[in-house]
Amino acid sequence: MMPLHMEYVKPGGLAEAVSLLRQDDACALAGGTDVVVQMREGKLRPRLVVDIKGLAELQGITGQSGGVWVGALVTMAEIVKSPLLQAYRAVVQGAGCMGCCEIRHRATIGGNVGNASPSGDAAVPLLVFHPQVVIHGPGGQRHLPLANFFRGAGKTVLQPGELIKGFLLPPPPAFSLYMRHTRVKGMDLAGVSLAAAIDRQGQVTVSMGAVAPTPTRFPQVEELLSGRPLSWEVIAQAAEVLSAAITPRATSLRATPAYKKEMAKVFLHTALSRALEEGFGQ
Amino acid sequence: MNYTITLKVNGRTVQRDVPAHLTLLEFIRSGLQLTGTKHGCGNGECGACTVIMDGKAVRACLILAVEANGCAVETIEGLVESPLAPFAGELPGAVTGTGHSHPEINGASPVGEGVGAGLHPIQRAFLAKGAVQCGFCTPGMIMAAKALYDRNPNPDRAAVVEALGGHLCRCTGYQPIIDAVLAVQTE
Amino acid sequence: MTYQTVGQSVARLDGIEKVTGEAVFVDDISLPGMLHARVLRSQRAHALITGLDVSEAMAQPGVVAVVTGRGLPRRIGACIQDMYPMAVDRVRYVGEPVAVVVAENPHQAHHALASIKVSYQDLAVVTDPWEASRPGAPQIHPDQAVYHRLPGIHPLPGSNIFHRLQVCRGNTADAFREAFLVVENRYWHPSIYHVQLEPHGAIATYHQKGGLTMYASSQAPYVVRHVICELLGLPPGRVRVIVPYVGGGFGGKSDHTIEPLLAWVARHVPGRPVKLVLTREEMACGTVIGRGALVHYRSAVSQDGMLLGVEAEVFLNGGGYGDFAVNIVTAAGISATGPYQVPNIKITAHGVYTNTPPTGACRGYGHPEVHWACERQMDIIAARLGMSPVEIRLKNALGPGKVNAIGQQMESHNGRVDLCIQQVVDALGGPECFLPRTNPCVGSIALEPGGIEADPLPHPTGANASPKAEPSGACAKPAAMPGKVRGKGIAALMKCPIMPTNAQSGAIIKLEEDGGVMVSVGAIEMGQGCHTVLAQIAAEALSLPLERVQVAPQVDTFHSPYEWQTVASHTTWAVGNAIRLAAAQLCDKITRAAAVILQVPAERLEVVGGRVQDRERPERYLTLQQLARGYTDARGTALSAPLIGEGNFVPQGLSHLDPETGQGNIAADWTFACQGAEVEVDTRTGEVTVLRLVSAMDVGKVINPVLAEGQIYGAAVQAMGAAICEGIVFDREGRIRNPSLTDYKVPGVEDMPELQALFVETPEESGPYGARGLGEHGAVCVPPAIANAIQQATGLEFFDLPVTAEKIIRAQQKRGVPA
Ligand SMILES: Cc1cc2nc3c(=O)[nH]c(=O)nc-3n(C[C@H](O)[C@H](O)[C@H](O)COP(=O)(O)OP(=O)(O)OC[C@H]3O[C@@H](n4cnc5c(N)ncnc54)[C@H](O)[C@@H]3O)c2cc1C
Ligand code: FES
Ligand code: FES
Repeated sequence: MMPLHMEYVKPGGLAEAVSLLRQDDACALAGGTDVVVQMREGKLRPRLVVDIKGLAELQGITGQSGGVWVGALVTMAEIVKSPLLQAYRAVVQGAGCMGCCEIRHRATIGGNVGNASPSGDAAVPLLVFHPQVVIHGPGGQRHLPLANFFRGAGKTVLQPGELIKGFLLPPPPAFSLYMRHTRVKGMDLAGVSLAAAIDRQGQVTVSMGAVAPTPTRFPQVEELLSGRPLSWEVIAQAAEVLSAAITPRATSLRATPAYKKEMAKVFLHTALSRALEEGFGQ
Repeated sequence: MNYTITLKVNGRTVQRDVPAHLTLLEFIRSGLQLTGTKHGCGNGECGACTVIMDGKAVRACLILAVEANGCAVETIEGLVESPLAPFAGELPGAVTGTGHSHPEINGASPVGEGVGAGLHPIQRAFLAKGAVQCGFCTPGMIMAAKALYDRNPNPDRAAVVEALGGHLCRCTGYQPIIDAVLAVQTE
Repeated sequence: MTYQTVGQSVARLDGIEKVTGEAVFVDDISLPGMLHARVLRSQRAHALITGLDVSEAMAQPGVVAVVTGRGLPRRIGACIQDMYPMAVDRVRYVGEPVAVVVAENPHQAHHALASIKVSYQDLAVVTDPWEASRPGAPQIHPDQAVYHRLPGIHPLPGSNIFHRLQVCRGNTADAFREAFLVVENRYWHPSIYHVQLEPHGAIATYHQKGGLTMYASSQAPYVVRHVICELLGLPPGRVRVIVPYVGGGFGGKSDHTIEPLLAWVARHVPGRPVKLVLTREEMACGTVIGRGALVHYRSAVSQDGMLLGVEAEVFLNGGGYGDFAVNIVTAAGISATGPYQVPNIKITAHGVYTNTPPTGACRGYGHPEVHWACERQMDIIAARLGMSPVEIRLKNALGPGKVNAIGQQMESHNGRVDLCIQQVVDALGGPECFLPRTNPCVGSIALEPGGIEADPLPHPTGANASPKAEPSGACAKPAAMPGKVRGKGIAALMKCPIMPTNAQSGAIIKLEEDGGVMVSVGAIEMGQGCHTVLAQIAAEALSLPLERVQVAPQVDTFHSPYEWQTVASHTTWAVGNAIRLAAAQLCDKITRAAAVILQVPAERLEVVGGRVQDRERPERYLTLQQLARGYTDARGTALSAPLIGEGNFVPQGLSHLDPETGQGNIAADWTFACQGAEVEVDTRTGEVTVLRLVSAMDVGKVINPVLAEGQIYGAAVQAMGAAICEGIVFDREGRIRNPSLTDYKVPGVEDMPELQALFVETPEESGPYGARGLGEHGAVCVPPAIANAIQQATGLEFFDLPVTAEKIIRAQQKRGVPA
């Protein structure tokens, strides 16, 4: 059941939103696909819900110095359709598999990152594009690499009053791919997921979901794979390193640690063979 | 605290005072007495509550009624072309079913001529293809299909599966529902 | 035989209401002055209640009453009176109602729950039926010996076993000694949810003058009425149960669930209706769950694949209360040999109390539990013998002249499983496609030696696949992509309705003023289309066009004729028979009334096409309309009175099973079927894609093809969930870890295989127009068909459900095949 005594405000501008969000027990509401569920389950009991959907500064997908600006309020449906984002295939794939049609119409990228789920299907692939999170708050604006944004399951660096304004994506890599395991082919959250990207210099980036408290990158694996032609030996070695590097919690209902460790190998192998097939990584 | 919201429901303007915690689904069902939209889970997981908001299929259980302020909402009751399409709020509390029967006997196409003349083609297709059993998922399925046809008049099977993804039906095994939605375009 | 209406895919009677949103379900009803109830549920699986303080909750805004189990007059139950509608002094599962808040609106009721204070003294918890059956297990009903129960229920006092059924034929000791091959395995079917899309709900008003009216989403208004009458000490004439449309039942709304609880609550606020609708998560623990069965199965086989003997022990999880599970135990016991003739049988089925929510009816009712074992076993035997799974089934199949496990001899009208098997095999590409890709083993193998007593392993959980067979790829269709392998499998089934020997069904047909008829039955329309099928039967029997036949859509115990309950796939058969009897009686009354008017002997008159006419001079007739309006002669004298036909049906010649041998006549009819699956397994991720599910069923006579197919499709996809993704997860404390649809996954539209339903029609002597039941059967052997296909594809043998990607990977790793 929803909290009985909450209040609702839809601020007209960013400044108003920031001052409202500084209040105790205030909570930003974007698409609400996490917020409303968490309120109903009693996990979230805000006194004040701040509906940020009217904020123009948080909208839109635009090209910016070779890269792309993605506003926090951009929905999964918009990501899937965006011509500018097609070069960032992994995040388009992640957005495309999230929930279902009705969810994708409402779910925003800011909400997916802001919710800081270990398995966010937008957050995990986003990581491999090295984006900056643009944060707006009482102290003005600040930038932060996405990798430094998460603090734990459901926890972020955001301070009271701060909002994600959007994400600055550097120019796209040559190759990227996202894949996940779900228990059914229909709607499900990821049991384990992996994104990989290879840029034009042969730098490989790998992130995984649902293997740690936050979406996580794996520098040791990236190092092994980067700057050299991908051989089956290297891939196999990297897969072992990746699998050994993860220590998933044992309590997940969606996948056991043993399975996640196995899929870490399979997914990395699949992603890199796809890259080779598509002519990258040689 | 209550908030005054003004929205269009099935083409008619409605103004109501609602508390912040009320979901759009509760508002539609209890506030407007439009009970065709169903509550199957309250968690976004089943699709029974699907309505069309500003042209897009959404899950009414995941939206606060206050968020719908200024929006246009279509529910299953708005689909039938009828001057008597239920007006939000003026319906008495529904107490019993009426038990219409469907008289045509027809082996090949069970929907007879003249029957359900005001029905939307999607509704007719659901009847013709045996896509309805208990009927609890049906309004949500039909609204999802309507939203699909509104933006894509010629969906292929993949598009239909995508539009109905995340809509649970425990009765039909889905096949007749997919067949029905695909059959709409041939009408 | 040609029929006018029977056999046609006529449109559902309730279709238009359901596509327009006009159909009314319980939660759509609001009554003047209606209050709302929310339930405080136990968070302990097994505990004594040492304190319960509701005073603070009473003081919360909007709260009208807080009801507890104090003062409950008696235990209730249809088979064993072992439960109170809410906890009195002890809780036996997480979710058991402890207190109920009644408030002006649901939000207020919910928020007041937090101010109720309960203290518990914990007791040891057991959630596994096998463990609970062991000596020394925590005793969940220490005083079960004193419970009131129906005859034919055999508890084991001093244990958690509330019912034990034995089925014995022949001499299994000899059979096993002489066998060429003995195969022994343990199979586990976890507990599952029904996942009806409509949550359980009810509205009850306790009347100031005494008596109760209830709207309920129920398959069993007469059972509900009976139990409420007993609980509140009211006569049946004072308890009215009305059932509007039901959004899916699957057994989970049969017997009684939340209704006695709500009746007790309503008793405390006389004059005001109280509504209780469960949340999705509450459905997990606030009603009944399904399945939960361990089956230890031993088969003795001859060299040429004949089944010589079966020894099986079934441990069915009854949960905290056994009332609903008694007959599931019986069903499992009598059907454990599947659709085969086995000369030597020793089966013991136990119903065991545990600390889970109670197990109730669930589409298939005991049959899927044992068919999972029996039909996996057949493929494992076939692989050991190097035999075709098709051949071994055909060799052993029941059929005319053969005798089933409880000693009933099959007649030629009882149906043909062999034809069903052949149809499925043909549809999937012929018998060669099912050959095991493995080397035959010679000699006798006992996979898990030692009897149940000697073996401390509770049951197969986790990595229990045994890597016996090696795939060779023979006759495999090329897989779609590298790393993906395909396989095909079949499984066959026999199912009978499990019902009291006196399960009654009534029907009333009223002739209306326009010459049409109104049919009243006590059978519930919950999506299965029974009202449409019953209308077809009435139309056929009365020779009326279907548009002249209405079926009263709501069942109301004040007006509707008695019906045991809408379960056991027996509605078309039993209520259909009642309708034929009612139609015959109405025709009889019509001809007798017309005889007076037309001055023709009644025997010469016939009712056809809305008229009653002289067979010899058809131009001499009356329309039914003329009769119905009260026919008057030229002087204005009335010659006809209102015409009503009634039909009363009870199955003939059934008897209780012998308590020692389990032999007897409790199955009124059987439906045979075969189901086949084609799957693709991704050997790297373990992911299973079910490509095709084909079912062939001997339904006797298809009354409505589209509806019949719909039942089979729906059942097959539901059972596919049990095969590959569904299962309730309990933690050590007996809490359910996956109560929501976020965590409990059911197949969605993307998971759907290509579905096919085929029919064999061997007319059933006792059924209307030859029809027999078909509603549950499509759910019975999909899991073994899928697992058999997985076995053919991968060589991996699985014994516990669901067969998930995880388990496939684990089994492969155990076998040493790198992913
Ligand atoms: C049925 C269902 C299926 C789902 N399936 C998936 C799935 O497959 N994969 C997946 O990853 N997720 C899934 N989700 C979760 C959810 O849809 C996503 O996480 C979604 O992206 C959240 O976006 P939103 O706009 O709805 O966020 P909201 O619910 O509005 O917000 C989520 C959180 O982020 C905060 N927030 C939102 N916007 C901002 C901002 N601009 N700045 C700071 N904080 C902000 C909110 O305060 C809140 O804490 C599913 C949810 C449901 C109900
Ligand atoms: S009720 Fe909204 S998705 Fe189930
Ligand atoms: S028709 Fe019953 S859930 Fe779809």
